[in-house]
Amino acid sequence: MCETIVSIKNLKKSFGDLVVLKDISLDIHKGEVVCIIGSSGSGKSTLLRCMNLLEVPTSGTIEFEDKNIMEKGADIDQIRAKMTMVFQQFNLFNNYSVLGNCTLTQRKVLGRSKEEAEKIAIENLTRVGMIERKDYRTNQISGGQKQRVAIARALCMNPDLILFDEPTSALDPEMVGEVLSVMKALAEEGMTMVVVTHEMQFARDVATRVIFMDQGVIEEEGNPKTIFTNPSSPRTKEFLKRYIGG
Amino acid sequence: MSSIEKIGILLRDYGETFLKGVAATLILAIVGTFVGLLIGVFVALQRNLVIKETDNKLVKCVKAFAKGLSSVYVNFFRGTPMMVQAMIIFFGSASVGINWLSLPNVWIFNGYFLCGLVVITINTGAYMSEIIRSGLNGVDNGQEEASRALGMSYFKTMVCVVMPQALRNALPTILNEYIVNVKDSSVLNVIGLTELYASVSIATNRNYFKVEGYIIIAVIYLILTLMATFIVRIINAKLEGRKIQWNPFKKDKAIVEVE
Repeated sequence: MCETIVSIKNLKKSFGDLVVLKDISLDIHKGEVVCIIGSSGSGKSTLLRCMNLLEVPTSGTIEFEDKNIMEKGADIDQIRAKMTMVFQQFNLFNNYSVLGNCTLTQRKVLGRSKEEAEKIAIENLTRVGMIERKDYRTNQISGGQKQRVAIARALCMNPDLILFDEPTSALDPEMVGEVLSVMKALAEEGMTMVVVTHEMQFARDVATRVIFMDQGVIEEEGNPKTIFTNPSSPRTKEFLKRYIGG
Repeated sequence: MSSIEKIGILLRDYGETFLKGVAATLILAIVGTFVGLLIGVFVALQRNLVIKETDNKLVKCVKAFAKGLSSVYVNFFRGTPMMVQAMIIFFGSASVGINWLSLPNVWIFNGYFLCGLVVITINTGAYMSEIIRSGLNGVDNGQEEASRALGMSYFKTMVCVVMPQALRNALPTILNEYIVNVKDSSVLNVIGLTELYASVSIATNRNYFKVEGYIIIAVIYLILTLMATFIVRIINAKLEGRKIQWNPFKKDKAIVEVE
């Protein structure tokens, strides 16, 4: 657990006058499940979106597998294929079936043949329990099912890291469980994951490291046990008190 | 002689003239709409360019120029009558060395026709660009974001994910533009080309059955547009997952969605 996948140094991001990320430095190692928690507006989603350059950082450096991804010559598309993302609003491609969602990017980005892409898609749809729905349209499945397909779509790229941006926040409560259990299974298989979440239970049980963000800085980080039972920062205490009443 | 008889005579003696007119009108409308759509997609993408702070000076200049030019194009061709545009292009081409009348004359095709085709295509392109733009606005941003986040380039994202959805949103409006073109191609007779409208003058120029001639083409125009309207309805129903109801007094049936 020492090979560094992502290394962020002195990351700053502002939107106009609004400073969202102040000075973030963070390393993510192979096999880690990092949960980022914090209240709304603390910059956790922005941090995640900076990691694959959906947001362009104002300053600082981000290295992915020892390559500076903000350099001019960096092939950001190939980097994103190795660092896929799962969104709060699922964002499945509406003009493709469930299977098509999983094969499109494999074929267009990785250059896999149709047969190969379908084989890998079927494997991953089975993994998330969505294989019976492979020919459905995206408007014919429920939110929880959509998110499971989105996870399968991300897995099909054989990524080294998956970014999850509040994957359960747009779901009805009864559908949260099915998505979290898929994510838990992934974590147990050793997938490296960075998860922005409000699911404290998940963070406590699955994360190998928890990061608490507040007002654009990493206020506290450590193993979940310490953070949840014995946080050192008063802000962390206050936040957790509101969330789990502890 | 009654009107019915006059119509009969016109159809008997000038049937071929009317048929040629129908062919010309349909070619103008179909080619104009289709090529106009391609122009529209291209222009819409230019008008939607975003000038980013991170772009270098040259890129910023090129983008600003493309945006400005496409905006002038769209506003000019949407803001002036096609009849006027036709006159300017037909008579103005001589000054840039194009002589439409030097082109050979084959069946319904000649210099006038080609010039008219160019006019209707450019005119349609301007309308199409706005139709495509509103189609693009209807596609959720998350679609582009997800595609980019999985490693698709901007170009692949547009071709595989965003544009198909935008075109699908815009399809009813695009077909409506075709209906407009079937009718509006009639103004192109000002530059001397013979389509359905102008075919009446040929058919009635000696017998003077003017009213009957125009009634005939009115019916033909109606058939052409109603056919297109019906196709729009079928496609709309298909897209929205409804079954077409042939009985005009009943609404189209919704197909029950799974879950």
